[in-house]
Amino acid sequence: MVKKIFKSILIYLLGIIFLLPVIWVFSLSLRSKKDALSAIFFTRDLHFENYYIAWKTFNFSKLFMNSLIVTIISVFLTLVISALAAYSFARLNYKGSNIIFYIILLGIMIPPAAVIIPLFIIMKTLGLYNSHYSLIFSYIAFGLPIAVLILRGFFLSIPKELIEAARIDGSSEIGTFFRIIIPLSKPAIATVTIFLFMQNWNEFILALVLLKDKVLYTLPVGLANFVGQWDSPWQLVAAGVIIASLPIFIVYLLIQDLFVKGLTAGAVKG
Amino acid sequence: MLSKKLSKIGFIFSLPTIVFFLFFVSIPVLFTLALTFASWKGFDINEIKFVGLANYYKVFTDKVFLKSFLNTSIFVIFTTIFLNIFGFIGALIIDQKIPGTRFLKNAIFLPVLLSPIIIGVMWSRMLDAFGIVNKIIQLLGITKMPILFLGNPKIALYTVIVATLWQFTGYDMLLYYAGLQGIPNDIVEASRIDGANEFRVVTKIIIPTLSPVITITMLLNIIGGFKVFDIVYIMTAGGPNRSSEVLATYLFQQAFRFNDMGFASVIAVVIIIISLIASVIRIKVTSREY
Repeated sequence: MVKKIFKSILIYLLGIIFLLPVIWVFSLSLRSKKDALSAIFFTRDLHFENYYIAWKTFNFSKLFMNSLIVTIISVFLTLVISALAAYSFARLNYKGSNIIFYIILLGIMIPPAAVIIPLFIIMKTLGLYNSHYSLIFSYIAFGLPIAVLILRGFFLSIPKELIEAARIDGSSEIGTFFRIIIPLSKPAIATVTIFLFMQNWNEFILALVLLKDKVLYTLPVGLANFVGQWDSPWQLVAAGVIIASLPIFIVYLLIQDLFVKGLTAGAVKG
Repeated sequence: MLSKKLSKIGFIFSLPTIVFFLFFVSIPVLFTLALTFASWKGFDINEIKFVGLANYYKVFTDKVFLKSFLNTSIFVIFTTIFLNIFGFIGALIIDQKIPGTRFLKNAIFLPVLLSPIIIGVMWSRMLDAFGIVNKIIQLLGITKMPILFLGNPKIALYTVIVATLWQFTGYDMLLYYAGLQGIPNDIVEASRIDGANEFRVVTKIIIPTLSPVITITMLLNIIGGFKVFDIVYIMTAGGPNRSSEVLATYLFQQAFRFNDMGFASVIAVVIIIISLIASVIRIKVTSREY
């Protein structure tokens, strides 16, 4: 019993030590301008207004809005497009569909950084450079392979008989897809959604290259742009870091198990 | 007749995916490959000049490229080894039924949720001359002058590695934790009854059983490591004096600062080839194990 309590204390201590960087940034975010560089941890006078000033200086309303627009639209479209393809690769095979599926699988391993030059050129040619469309289209393309892979695996586990019965009842393929397959696949769709959401929410290099105007910046680029200027006040940078991290962390605490499944989805399947 | 109709519908269903993939993944990959044989500043398509293998010669004899390749390899080796060790130990700790394990799990997993940009910003400030680490070092009297973790070419890369370890230990930990749940309890119990100590249980039973998980986790770390960009870009931008330059940051610089698209494309092709090799190994391993 004593041993267990001792172990438990050690585990809490370990967790706190691991979180020290976060705790330090939090302490920094509450300091006065004078204390920002001189204090070690928390100071007596706390400046909560730093958060308000940081929100204004970083233009967080805009950054969050841009990130939300780009992420939600791209994730939603990726889901629709990939689910249709995954269903066809699972149950509506056609000549060459297997080869196409495997070629798309190879796409999982192509990092966006490696094709950033042609993407930049293509977006310029299409007139999409410096718009959210350029990000949405690239995020869809780079999200598709893993989404198709996971959803196809799940669709294969749905009994064929179910689909055939619907067919005999006169249901169209698209009707079967939306009325039978999709409702049965909620767990897989949730996994894919979280995986894609996190990937697109945190994506950096494409947003860095494909956007020029500051008003279009997503969260990571906006943050990088602001802290890139080394004279930016530390206490505001720290408050910005906390503001930018908080939403994802809160959502994580609400749906932990789904999150873990979604984030590790890239590892288990494939 | 029905199957013919079905295959037609099947094709229509997969068409949007094919189109997106073609335009924004396949064609870009081929375009990159083509650009490696060209000299181009990236502005006017008509100015693309065929130069044969000149870019390859330039890249493979370029000291900075070799340095960034070496740095990327160091990054991959260190992160892969330590992420797996820390992740595995973390998984063993949180797999016990003791109060606090849930807190520890969430604490270690928290940085995984954040963008590498956020992690980089935090760690840059922390390790700055005015940051907490140097304050403590000076308070303890270890050194009088602050240590320039990101300004010293000898340690900048390793500083970025440490920040990366802090960020992704939670990821490996959860993969191992999931693996541990798959080990039947009675096997572990039986060997304990047979008198095996904890160390033997781990080395003789848990590690061998987890070997597929170990392989996958290491491969994922390797693949992730070779394309590292964000955290290096934000913490050191490859500096000081190229000491932490990695493949992706060098590519970015050649393409968008120096406008040498041909040169940058060769680096891109190197990244693609490494990624494809790793992915083929991964597909082989997964199809064998499962």
